[in-house]
Amino acid sequence: MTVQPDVLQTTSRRWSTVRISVLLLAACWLLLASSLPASLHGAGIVLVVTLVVLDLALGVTTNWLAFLPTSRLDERQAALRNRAYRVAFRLVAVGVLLMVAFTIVGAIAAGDNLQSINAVPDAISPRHLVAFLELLVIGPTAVIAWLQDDASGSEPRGLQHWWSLLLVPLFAGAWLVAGQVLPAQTVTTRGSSGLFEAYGATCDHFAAEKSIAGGLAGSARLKVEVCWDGRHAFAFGDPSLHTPMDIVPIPVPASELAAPLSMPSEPDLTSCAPRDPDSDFVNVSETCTEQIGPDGSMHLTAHARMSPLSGDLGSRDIEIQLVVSRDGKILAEG
Amino acid sequence: MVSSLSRSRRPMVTIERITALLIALLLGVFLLGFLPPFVASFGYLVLVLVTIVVVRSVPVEPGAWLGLRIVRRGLVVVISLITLDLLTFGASFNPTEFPLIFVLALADFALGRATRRIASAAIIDLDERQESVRNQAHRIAYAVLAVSVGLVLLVADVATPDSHRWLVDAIHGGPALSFLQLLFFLPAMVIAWIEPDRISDDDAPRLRQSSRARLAYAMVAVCIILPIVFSITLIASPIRTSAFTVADPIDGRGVNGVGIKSCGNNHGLYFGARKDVGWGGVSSVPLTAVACWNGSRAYPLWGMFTSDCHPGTTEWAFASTLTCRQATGSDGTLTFTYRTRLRAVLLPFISRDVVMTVTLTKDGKVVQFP
Repeated sequence: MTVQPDVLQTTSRRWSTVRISVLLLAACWLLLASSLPASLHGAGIVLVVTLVVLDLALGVTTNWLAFLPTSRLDERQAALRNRAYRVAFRLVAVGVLLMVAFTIVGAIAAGDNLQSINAVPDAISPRHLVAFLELLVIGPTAVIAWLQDDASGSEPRGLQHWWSLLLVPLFAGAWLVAGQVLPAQTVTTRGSSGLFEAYGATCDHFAAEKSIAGGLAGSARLKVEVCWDGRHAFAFGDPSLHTPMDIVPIPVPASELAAPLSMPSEPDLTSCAPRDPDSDFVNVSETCTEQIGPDGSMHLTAHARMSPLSGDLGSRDIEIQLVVSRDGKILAEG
Repeated sequence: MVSSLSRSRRPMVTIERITALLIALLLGVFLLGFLPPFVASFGYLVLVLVTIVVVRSVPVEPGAWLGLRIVRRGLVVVISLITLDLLTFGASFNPTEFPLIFVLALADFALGRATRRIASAAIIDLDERQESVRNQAHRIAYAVLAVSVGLVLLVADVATPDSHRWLVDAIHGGPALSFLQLLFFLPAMVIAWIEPDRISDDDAPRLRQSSRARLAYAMVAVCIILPIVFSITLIASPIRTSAFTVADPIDGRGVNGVGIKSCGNNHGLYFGARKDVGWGGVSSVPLTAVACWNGSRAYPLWGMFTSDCHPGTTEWAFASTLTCRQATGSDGTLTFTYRTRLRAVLLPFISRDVVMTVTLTKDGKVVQFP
């Protein structure tokens, strides 16, 4: 029995290329799906683009077998495809369970991080959403690539089959454009922090989140404990907002205070910082300013800058406003 | 060829085993979180898990009824309807929803029997036809899952603020259960749907009723009966009450850490009480409050207002506050009434009211407590 040496070499080379691509895909997916590091600091899009490149490469390598109608497959291909779907279905289950485990580990690791307490709740972080969709879309193809390589099933693809890689810059461009033109979506909540009183003034909790493309192009948020006593409304719990202390009711006459009253820092109640996942795909910087109007109303404005590229290139500014009257009515929000 | 390759050996690490390990790890963390207050629920969940393991170790045949395609399809329709209904459940479950989840669990148990559990069987236990059917079912199930979950997730997350809010609730409520149902049972549902009338081989030998099979059925029966017993004890068991009072309580919120009298220059009384109902699954209704008096009237300081009337831990029961009212009468007597209705989770028509009452006269005499 004779074995052609070039056949062996080709198989061995393809084995490494395809399987290394699948392993690279798995590594990128794990980084995206895990909650560590807590924030990707804008590098998430690099991961996603890498995943798209690998998806397309595996798709071309497998001749997009996973997506072909059964009528265009022979018996062996159909059997391989169906088997790949079974393994991929289990992979989705494993992937989802892993993401749940990662989320628990991430929550434990960020135990002293008070950003998420009392903020607008997120159903799923953009990072996890992309990871889940990636798993659903490319799972069967990745399994076919792995199994096909195992069985040395397909021919190497010629250059003419790789045109689909042109979609990669199109995808990146579409993401950049979406970050610029899509309207920001605002979600607000009120009263989630429960009962809170500041020296006799009535207080309530307000939180708002403004996100672009479901957070895939960044999110800004604020949460604030607003108190009012009929004369003024003011933000409580963040010294950096410079709330004038002469409008804050005090528990005893001022002359009886040993030291001037100062605004406590309560980051679980009031904060203008973005959450870690908000900066996964773009860099987000955020500042807040507070003004008390002549009518006693509080005007709080959060300014956020989303920078998808370094050096503020292609950055976008968004603003969140909250105006509360001296008797606790919301005059403007969003 | 693919089949013969995969059958040549049985690997130690399989996707099914990794899935099982991850489920065990997550359930372990979940169960440990349950342990301190919910001992009965913890024990019950452990029993359910052991039952699942025992049941899965027993080979099954669908039997005369579940062997019929129309019955199996009916079962799939029932499961699908319950799965769809779960989508409407919010993050907080209400009393009518748990029986439905219980029915779903039983339907999934029947589904496993109807399909001989080939959706999750080891590859070595299947013949070529079964493996082919299973793979085909997974391909169909994958398409359904991708569209029903992936698309819904994407659209709900980015479409509108309202859809985003729905998704926040969905992740912690019934839709999450729907997702788990699809993730773990959808291939079996597809198999039950597409298989012809007799799912088992015609010449398959009749399964022997082994002692393990009898144990499995007994454990399933216990799993079904136990919650019903827990529900019945809600009305059958006596209410166990513990109560104490502390005169002139000190408030820990004083300046520089020095406690100050809660009622200032007036007299006060701290009321602490708890009423426990049920055996196995115990529901507790607590009361902690401070009331003061000054000779002309008694008045509540804290713990007697609407926002204070929260039930404690409830196992196998839902609690809803019916009355939380305090008033000082013309004679200066303070009366506080806190009435809670405990409703059995699985048998919502079983309920019991628990009442806490505090009556304090203007000169500090406790007429009624709790």
